Amino acid sequence: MKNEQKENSCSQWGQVGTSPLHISGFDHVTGRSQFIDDIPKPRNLLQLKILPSPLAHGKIVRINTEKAKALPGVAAIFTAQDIPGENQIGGIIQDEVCLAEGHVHFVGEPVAIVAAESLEEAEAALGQIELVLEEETPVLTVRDAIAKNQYVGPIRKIERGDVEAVFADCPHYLEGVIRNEGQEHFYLETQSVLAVPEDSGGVTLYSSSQNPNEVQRMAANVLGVLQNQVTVDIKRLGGGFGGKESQATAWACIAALAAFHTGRPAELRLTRDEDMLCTGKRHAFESDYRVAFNEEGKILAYSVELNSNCGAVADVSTSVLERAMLHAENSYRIDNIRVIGRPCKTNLHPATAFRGFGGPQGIFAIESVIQKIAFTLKLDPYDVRMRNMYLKGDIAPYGEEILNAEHVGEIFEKLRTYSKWDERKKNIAVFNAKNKYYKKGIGITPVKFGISFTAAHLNQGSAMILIYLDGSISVTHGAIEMGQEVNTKIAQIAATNFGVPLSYVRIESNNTKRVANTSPTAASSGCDLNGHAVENASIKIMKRLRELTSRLFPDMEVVFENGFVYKAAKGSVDYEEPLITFKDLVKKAYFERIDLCDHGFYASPGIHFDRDKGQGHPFLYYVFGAAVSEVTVDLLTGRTSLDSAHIIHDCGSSINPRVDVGQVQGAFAQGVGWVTTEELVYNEKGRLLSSSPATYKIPTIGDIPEELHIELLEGSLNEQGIKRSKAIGEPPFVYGESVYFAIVDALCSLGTYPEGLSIPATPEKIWLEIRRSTNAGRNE
Amino acid sequence: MKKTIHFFLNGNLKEVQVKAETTVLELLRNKLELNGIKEGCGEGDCGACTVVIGEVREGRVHYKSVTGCLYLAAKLEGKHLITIEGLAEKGKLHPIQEAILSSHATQCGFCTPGVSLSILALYLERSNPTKEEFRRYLEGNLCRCTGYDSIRKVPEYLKELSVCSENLRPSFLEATEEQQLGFIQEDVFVDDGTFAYYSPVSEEHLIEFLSTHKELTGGNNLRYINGGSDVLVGIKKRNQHYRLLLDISRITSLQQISYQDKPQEAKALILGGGVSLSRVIDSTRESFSELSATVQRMCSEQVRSSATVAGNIVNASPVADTVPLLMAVDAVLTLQGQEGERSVPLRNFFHGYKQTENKPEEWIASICVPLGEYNFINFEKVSKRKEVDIAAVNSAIALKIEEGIINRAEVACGGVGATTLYLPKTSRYLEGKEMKEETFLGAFEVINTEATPIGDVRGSAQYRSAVMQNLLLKHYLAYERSQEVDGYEE
Repeated sequence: MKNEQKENSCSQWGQVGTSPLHISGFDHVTGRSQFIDDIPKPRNLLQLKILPSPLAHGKIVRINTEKAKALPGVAAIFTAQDIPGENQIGGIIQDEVCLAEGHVHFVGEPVAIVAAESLEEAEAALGQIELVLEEETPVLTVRDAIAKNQYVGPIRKIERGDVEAVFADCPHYLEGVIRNEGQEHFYLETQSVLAVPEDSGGVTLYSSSQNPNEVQRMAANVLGVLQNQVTVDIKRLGGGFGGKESQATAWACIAALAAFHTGRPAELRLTRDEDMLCTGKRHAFESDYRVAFNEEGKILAYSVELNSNCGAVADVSTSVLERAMLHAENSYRIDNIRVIGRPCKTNLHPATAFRGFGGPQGIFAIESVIQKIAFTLKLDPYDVRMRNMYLKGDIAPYGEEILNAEHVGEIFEKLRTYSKWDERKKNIAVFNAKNKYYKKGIGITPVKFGISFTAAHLNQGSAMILIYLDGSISVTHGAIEMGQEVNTKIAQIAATNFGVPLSYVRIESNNTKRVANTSPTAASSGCDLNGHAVENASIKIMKRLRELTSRLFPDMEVVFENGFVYKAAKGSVDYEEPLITFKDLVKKAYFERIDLCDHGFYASPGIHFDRDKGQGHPFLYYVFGAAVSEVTVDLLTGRTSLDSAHIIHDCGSSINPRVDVGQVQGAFAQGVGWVTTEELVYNEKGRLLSSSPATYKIPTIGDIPEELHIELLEGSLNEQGIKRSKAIGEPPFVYGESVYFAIVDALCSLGTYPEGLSIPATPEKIWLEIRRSTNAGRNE
Repeated sequence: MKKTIHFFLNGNLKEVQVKAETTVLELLRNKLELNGIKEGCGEGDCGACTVVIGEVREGRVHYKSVTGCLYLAAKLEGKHLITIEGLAEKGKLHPIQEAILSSHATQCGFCTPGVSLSILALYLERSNPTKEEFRRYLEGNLCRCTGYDSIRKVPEYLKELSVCSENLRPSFLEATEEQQLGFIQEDVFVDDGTFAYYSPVSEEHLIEFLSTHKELTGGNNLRYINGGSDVLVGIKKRNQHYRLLLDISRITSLQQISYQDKPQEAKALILGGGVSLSRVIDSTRESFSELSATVQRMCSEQVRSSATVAGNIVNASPVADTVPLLMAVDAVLTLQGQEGERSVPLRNFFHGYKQTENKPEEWIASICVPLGEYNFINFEKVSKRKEVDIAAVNSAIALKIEEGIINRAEVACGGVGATTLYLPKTSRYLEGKEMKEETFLGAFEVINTEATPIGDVRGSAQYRSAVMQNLLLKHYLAYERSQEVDGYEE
């Protein structure tokens, strides 16, 4: 028994810094994990279908539901006029209706809801609703929106130094346009919600949302009830990636409305096609830049106008644009810089949060510019980047000191060796000289990513911990589990703080009745904010338990580990004779009438940002990293193959290194998809044509190179992060851009810079650049 | 004739009533309340609803992965359906599940049941799979969280668990296999008055049925299926229903792969109309490696395991991948109907967009593929994504090269017209010319006179035109490469 205890104490029991298995892993691999559609169906369940707008812009002349209502199995049909509260679900700016009223503003905008006994009957009824629209000309591009002065929010600026003065007199100057298209989230679980009516006109919503608080607020708003009447309960999402931060709200409100009116439970689950057609995506950007630089490639002045295509309503677009602006300089110190952001309003589905949240777009612009500088000066893109890199103590254009800025240069240097940059470049030159129809290229992308919501008030987390008499611990926290394993990490934090094995800790669903007013699980902040809140709750309970142990074991220093309380002296623990088990201690505490439950709260300190001035301290700390990718481009088809990738990433002192590596791998793959194969194709009327996985291509297992190496930066301790860790979710997404720059490098070997190559660099777009380059060659 | 379906579900015999169009996904989730299977897309493109099917063929039970959304429940007759619920036994995880956990290959968990079952199908059929085989079986399972590296490492963890292939067989397999081998196959017929499904066990039964059920088979009421993957996408997503789905997949005579190898006669490969694409990959690797390689680039293993070359042809998609290759080598189809059979060269089979020589009541009994007439055959395909993607343009060539001169040339191209096009002018142009790069560059203008592509979501007209030309050159480059490889071997 004693030996066993000793062994346990020395081994890993799930504490912070180790890599225990996925806390829901058993349920996942056995198929028992419940997603929304797997929740046992309540009796009398209604199935919902939405009637989406077929047009991108139009006036509603008539909606006639009489014929559809008369069909068998149809319980009710709702339109905007059936909304008892306010027809308004805009989270930041109140410009978004739940159901279309007067006009439709994008293809897929919900116009009516059918509630029926079965999906088949609901579908049949959809076809019988008469919707008469008067078509209006849609605005689809940022240029058209700018021409019409059509924005979803104010135009913002961040400025330092005097760019115009430098442009007027500089050794080298370039200007141009950088474009990226959007990206579909393609979470595997489509938008889903189950609404169950409750006493006194209330409703419980089981929603696949990253943002229970917003779902609660907006559902209450739409129903015209107090927020305490709406309960939102969320166990897990089948992927979110930002696509369910604000875009799950509409569906939840629609289901709430149906349950409210009929008094029956109602389920709405979008089909993949409906989901892709109706819901928002990553923002497309079209950015105009001007840059001045010297012979060495050092940037003297940089001006960029970031124009984002926000779609029909504001959604979180103003915040996305803000983050793009705050990342416009990426890892480079630029003394003269002007960043302008225009949130353009168009008639596409509302663009929304997507991993990186504007950061990747802002970074893409400056990385493109620096790649062009290197090409222009015939310098190694690595060297040009290194010459501009932030150094310790440097200040960002918005006035904040970049904490630990030296990490990015350090990583860049390490990556040069780790990826064998120089050797690869040599081999590529040899290969390209030999091969007429294939060209290889190599790309490198550094990342400096600011951590915190730029809306300062959102930087708060909350948690509730309950300890039961058998020592088992129930933790509710404000984050949503969507595959990022925030639950595993938070369970590790609780297990560490209470000194119990991970198996004692159960992470509960996020429920608005246990944690209130939570921030969305977004901005990579879920674990930081709510982990801190769990830490604070556990500190409060532990303080009481330690008071008890000090009474039970007077004048003794004790440690809590792996379910036991041990005697400790001068840093060494006596594992031979545990003083008491955690379970027995908890029981004693109960009989002593000590509170075994508590709430925890956390607010990130010192965050502020003045949007009008473009100045402040928006980030608590920064995440750094860099990636190198190598590709081969087939000049005859434009097809690319990704041959290798090397990444060094700084995640502080990782809470769970395997989880963090998994996050880097997953984010990288998403980034690769964004820059290569994932193409949103719209027709001239603003309807998405690539609205299913048959035409929209996210990476498969064959798209990830065998040679993929990821290293976490050693020795990085982040005093600002929970347990000295760093946020992980979004920053590694940017590594995908190294693949784009590898493609650019390969095409540059043809002698011209591929000016027109936007993200995604599809085979066809690459081929167009090859043709342009070949024609340019002929003309010479 | 059975009106209910008898099958084994994770080792237990079940009898269920289903409708003609009910899928395995619907059966499991809606009727049997087994929620481990997930719906991610409903069109076979994501693999979240992957399940394993065990079926008897040639005296042994074979296992394959299918997507439950594109596999009709009525097809389950006599088969063994293995779902994620069957994997862990007596509360103990299956080694594949343990390996997935250890490899941290599950994040949000939505794709995990499908991934687990794809891996199971692989290991049940191939004891020591290569990396390529692993990729082949998993490329149809989309995962948006992990980036696949951890999934790719599952076999390493399986090795670490030191399990042999035998341990990966769920315990109920042996007893079920015995029952399956003794299962007496009968025709299945379900009809709710709106939609019907009929699955005969022999051609005689099929012909008999056709003559006795005129009300179901006339006009465009009838649609033959084998895997049914493409037809089901039409049914579920585009409301393209048929009065009768006639499933020929259980007719053993259509399942043959044979060779015509008599002296005096031309050598040929005869593919039965019901032979799945997966079987084509495995069984033509030696005899017609180019066909094997071509098929490997089509759809996913879950679809290939039931879909057929015949289906690929008869769907008449202008971007069908097997068609250019089979056209180039001048394959001949045997169409069978009540009145007997007739032969139609594939080059004459297509009349227009989705229009074929095939009459509604006819089925493709076999495809005769001439062998040995050419010494260089090649297929090229361009799509956005390397795997599990439909071509923007595809192209095939068959050449007989003697002493550096192209004596015979046959070229066919897809995605450049309303049907796959056999290109006689380009073919004739190449003949008599030297096997060198300039010859193929010279054919660029000729091919332009034979095909005028249009643009769509997969590629613009100008891109398709250019690629169509460039693929000619790629055929030549593939030849050059093949010569180099030969050089190394010497």
